[in-house]
Amino acid sequence: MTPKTAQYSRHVLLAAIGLVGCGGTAIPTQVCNVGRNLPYAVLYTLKADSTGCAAQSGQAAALNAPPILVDDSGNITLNPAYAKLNLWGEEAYYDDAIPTLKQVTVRPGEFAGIANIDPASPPTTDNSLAEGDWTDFTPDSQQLCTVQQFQPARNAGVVYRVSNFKTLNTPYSFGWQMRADLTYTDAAGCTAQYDVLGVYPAATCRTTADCNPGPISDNVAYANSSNPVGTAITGNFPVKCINNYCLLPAANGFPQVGPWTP
Amino acid sequence: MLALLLLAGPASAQMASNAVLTGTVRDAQSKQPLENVVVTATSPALQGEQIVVTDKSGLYRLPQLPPGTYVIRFESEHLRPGNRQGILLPAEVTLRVDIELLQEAATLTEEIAVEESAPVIDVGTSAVGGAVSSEFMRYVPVNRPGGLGGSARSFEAIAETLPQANSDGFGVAINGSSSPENSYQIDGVTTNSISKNYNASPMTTEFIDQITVLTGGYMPEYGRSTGGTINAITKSGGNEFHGAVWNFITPGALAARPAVAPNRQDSFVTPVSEVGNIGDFGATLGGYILKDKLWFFAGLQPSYSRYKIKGALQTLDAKGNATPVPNSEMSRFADQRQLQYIAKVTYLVNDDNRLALTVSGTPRTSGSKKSFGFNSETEEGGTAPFGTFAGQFGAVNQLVDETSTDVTLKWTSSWLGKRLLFDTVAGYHYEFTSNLPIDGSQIGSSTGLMAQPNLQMFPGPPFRQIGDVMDVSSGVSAACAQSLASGGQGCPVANWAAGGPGITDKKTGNAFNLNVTGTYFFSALGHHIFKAGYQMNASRYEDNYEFPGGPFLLEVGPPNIIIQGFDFYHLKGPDQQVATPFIDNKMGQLTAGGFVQDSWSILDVVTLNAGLRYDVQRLYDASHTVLDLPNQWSPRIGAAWDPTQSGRAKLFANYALYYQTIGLNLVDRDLAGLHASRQPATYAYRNETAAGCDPKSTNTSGCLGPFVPGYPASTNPSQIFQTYGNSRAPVDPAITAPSTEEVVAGGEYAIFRNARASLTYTHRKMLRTIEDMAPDNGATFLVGNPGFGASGTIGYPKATRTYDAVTAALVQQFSDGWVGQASYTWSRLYGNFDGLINVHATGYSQFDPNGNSAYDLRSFLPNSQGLLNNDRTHQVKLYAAKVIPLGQSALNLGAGYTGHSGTPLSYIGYDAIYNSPLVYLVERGTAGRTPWVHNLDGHLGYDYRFTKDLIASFTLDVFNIFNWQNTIFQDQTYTLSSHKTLPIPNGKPSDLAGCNNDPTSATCKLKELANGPNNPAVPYSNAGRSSANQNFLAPTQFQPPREVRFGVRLSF
Repeated sequence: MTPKTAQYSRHVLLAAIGLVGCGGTAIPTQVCNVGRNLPYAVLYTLKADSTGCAAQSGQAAALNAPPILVDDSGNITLNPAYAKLNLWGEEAYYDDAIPTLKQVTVRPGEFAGIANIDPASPPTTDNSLAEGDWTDFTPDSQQLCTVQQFQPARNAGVVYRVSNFKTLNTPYSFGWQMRADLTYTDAAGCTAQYDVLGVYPAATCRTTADCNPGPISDNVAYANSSNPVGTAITGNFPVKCINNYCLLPAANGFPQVGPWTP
Repeated sequence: MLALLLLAGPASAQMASNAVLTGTVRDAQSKQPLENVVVTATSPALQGEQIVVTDKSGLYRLPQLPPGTYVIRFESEHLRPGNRQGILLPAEVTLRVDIELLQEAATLTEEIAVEESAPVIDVGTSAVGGAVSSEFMRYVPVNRPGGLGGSARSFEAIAETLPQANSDGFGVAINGSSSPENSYQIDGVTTNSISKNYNASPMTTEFIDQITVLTGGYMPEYGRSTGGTINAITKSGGNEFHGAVWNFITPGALAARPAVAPNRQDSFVTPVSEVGNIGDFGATLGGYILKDKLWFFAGLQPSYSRYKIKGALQTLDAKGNATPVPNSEMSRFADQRQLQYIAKVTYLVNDDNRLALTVSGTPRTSGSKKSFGFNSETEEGGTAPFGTFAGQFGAVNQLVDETSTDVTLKWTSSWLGKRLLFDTVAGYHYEFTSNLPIDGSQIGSSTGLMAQPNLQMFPGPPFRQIGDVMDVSSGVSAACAQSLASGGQGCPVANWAAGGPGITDKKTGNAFNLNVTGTYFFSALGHHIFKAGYQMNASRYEDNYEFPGGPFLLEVGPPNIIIQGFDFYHLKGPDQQVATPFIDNKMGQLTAGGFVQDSWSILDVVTLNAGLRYDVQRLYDASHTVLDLPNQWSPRIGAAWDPTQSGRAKLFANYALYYQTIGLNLVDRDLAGLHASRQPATYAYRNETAAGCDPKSTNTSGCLGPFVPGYPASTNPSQIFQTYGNSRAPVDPAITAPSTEEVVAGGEYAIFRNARASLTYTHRKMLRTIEDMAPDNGATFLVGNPGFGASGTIGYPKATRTYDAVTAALVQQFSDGWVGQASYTWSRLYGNFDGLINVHATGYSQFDPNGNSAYDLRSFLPNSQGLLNNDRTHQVKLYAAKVIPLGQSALNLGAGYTGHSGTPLSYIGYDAIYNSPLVYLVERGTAGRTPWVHNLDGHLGYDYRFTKDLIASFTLDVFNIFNWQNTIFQDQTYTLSSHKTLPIPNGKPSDLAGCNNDPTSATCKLKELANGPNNPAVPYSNAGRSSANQNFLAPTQFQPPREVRFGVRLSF
């Protein structure tokens, strides 16, 4: 903590600055963050250069097919051979008592279903969580925050290796767009590499109109579970209703809105 | 100078004794201006006398005068001396006193009529406001007992007597704003609470000579307020010794009983607060140490408030009709004790330099193991304290300590023959509040009530019965059983609190203040009063707080499930909770700014007032800047024209832009700590143990069973702990300080001696405010300007508030034994932003300035535009008092009538995330209004003069003589918490037709959220009592009842 005398000296200095009419020095308004509490709706897209049994087991044949299928009525579905959908829960963790701490934790939805949590005493460590650290406390010049590498998340032979994880941190996106590289090993030991693109919060839909951020969706029945009124997905995110989830189309890259300036 | 800078605090505006007398001296025959006439002002309020000479244009100007009654003498060679007497000069006002003098040589046959009426109009200002004199405070029944500072008869409530001002519970709201938007000052030093902006130094009017209120059109020297400026000027000593001892008492025996709000949902009758006894006694002494040189004033006033909170039980039949349960009455006292003190010395260094040093304070304490406490930050100031019997006493009550201390040093100096003036005020303000468990256990302690979580039990329907939650007599049991046996609901308990109290805290703030104003008076195409000033305040604040026992608990069963809510716990990862035992937030802020302004009297016909103010505010946590609000440019321009050219009338218009200062509460809640702050909260669902939570046991921590995994969302990777709110909230980089623009225009005319009539139009439009918003519906908060910047980009509506008012007023200053004031105001207040106080559906007020819930969730935004809570279409205020001499003694009679339209009402539904009635189901303000409220107060006083200087005064004030108990608030909750309803897009009241009484209504467009994985919206299910709120539009608050206050005062 800054000593009081130093604080007041600064006040005096700033008071003088105030009088001459500036005082607008840039200050960090945002720390790196992820969407919390609710999961991300996450789209896995098989990488073209994916190696391992997933690619060998027939998916490679589909690599030339489009990841998203649109039928004659305009309904959008994923090409199951090419892409799949998941929910990820994430937390960013800081502690004023540990000034260097800047941790990010991911739990894939697949492990949520396993529910290996003892209801009587929640764990303090859990292998179903992938843990990593932000490279910095605040977003870079592109308003992106990065985790280079996570400790793998494991459960019953399934392994998630997440790296090159980035979130978009603007004043209207507190990490609510996310991408990462995922190396996934299933229970049978097959491994594949995916591009992962997530949007927060996960919300269900019938049509893209249902992805309205609110306040009132035409179809609140498809709002996400904790957001009864609209999806709360940031309004200028170009989400599409795909497989009954509001998702960022993989083909459009990341991030899907540009850096924001006031 | 550095030392002075270090001693600076949150003051904003101006000096106390800056009233001015000015005018032109002319030859009575030739009408030519007279140069070098010696003009001398004297007053009992003035140390020594003030002397200036007229300039070439015959103009004189006597600045820096304390308010008082003045005599001006005019003397020059070859001229007969002239004088003007009995000039009532209020604080911060410029009065014009012109005179024509006769040549010594003039013959007696030449009759020269010299006009002799005293001036009452400040013809140079385009500001709107008024001064409340000590005579007005003394003879007109104002400042009724009760509420914040009520026992001490605090000054800020006096402002309510002005047109366009009304109480909002925490102070006086001016021109459609909310009371914490005002700047409160004592002798020019701000006393606004460092955290929440209310008046933290509720000084008794006994220590105050005059109160000035600026409601609009104010010049750049006044700033940091989007409401009004309320300045109390303390009394000073004099060349004679004066003092008083007094005792005021409001006995409970003579107070009428308060009306009881009906309750058709609960066995607990809504409690009422009856006056027990309210009183104060005290003494002041003022005089001199050195005549005309060193004066002193000192005062001491202990005071106390005792209320009796009374409750009882009732049985409810199947339809919610209540029958009282015999012998079920419950009562407890609510006690507050406070002390007020002041010490002031005024030193006239020489004719051009004066110093004043004032020390004052208002410590107060309330609450005990047996009596309720009350607290300025949570209790509504204008009403009695409240308490509830629906809980264990330790769970519904706290020990409350509050104090404030103010030290002010003021230096007034003049140079160049009073053409250059400097006013310098340095101030220090200290405030402290604490709210602790009634057993005295401290923050951080793991014993006593501090170790037991506050448990709110409101499962149902079906509800618990009274016998399940507390021990009752056999008679009560029998009455409840009989009701149940006859098909009724018995004695249902809709809400019960157990364990420790809710949040406990200790808050300490220090503020330093420095104001320097230079005034230069010069001529160039007319006369100019040029001012430039620098104003700075720096404050620090520490909030140490804890939820007893760690979490707070909400029982939401059946089947006996508890929501365990942890404020300020973190999740390290999904379901990985990290505890913080208690929070110690440290923060600070700096506001600095300056202004230049010129008041240019063009050929003494029109005065042009123009200037510019600049402020910067920067807010800090313990070590970082967290919010920077620079570039607060406030232009002000106005003009005043005196068509009579004699100070008897004026027409004026003014444009102003005002900025609001942000209190540190916003930092405390949203921005303190880079990562740790009050938010985030985490919560989890837990089962109760097999034995369940016993409503009769204070051991609330022991009834918690295992966590409920996957509840409510099994697909969420956070299966146990949900989060609510982020760590330090991001701040929109485009954020700017809250601002309001204003246009006022009007006219004044002096119709009688010391009386003026006025007509004023006021338009205020809020341009933007600062609020916290959670666009992802509660998970993450953004601090910004709603509708601008990032929040505008993602579709948030703009925060709006527009006020239009027309006021006609008549003001009689105290003269010839009369004082009076009459006003009528028509106004309209429209928008979606109530201000810094957010009044909820049942009348509960959330008081988190710039961090209220109004824009938190997207579901609160539809239909939220409408007539705002503080909208009062018509307001009538009539005050008058007359002093009737009876030989050596005097009788004084006073009366005050106020009447105003009611408050707009809305249809409000429960929100699914906050579980609170916050959703505007249809357009705001369309459920009618509360009825008109009338109030008549009377005053009778008798002054008995023992000797020339010794007077005994006996006073009787009766407040609300006719004991009118009009409804002042009604329950606007349309549905019960068991039904989470959604706003109807562009909803109109007709869209709710039949919703609460016709299960098959085709007109009801209301939807609610069904229970289920995706909470599908389904038509609102009318299942009789289980969905409708039987208390909808039932009164929840009434006008305070008749109270009688006796006073006795011995003064010399």
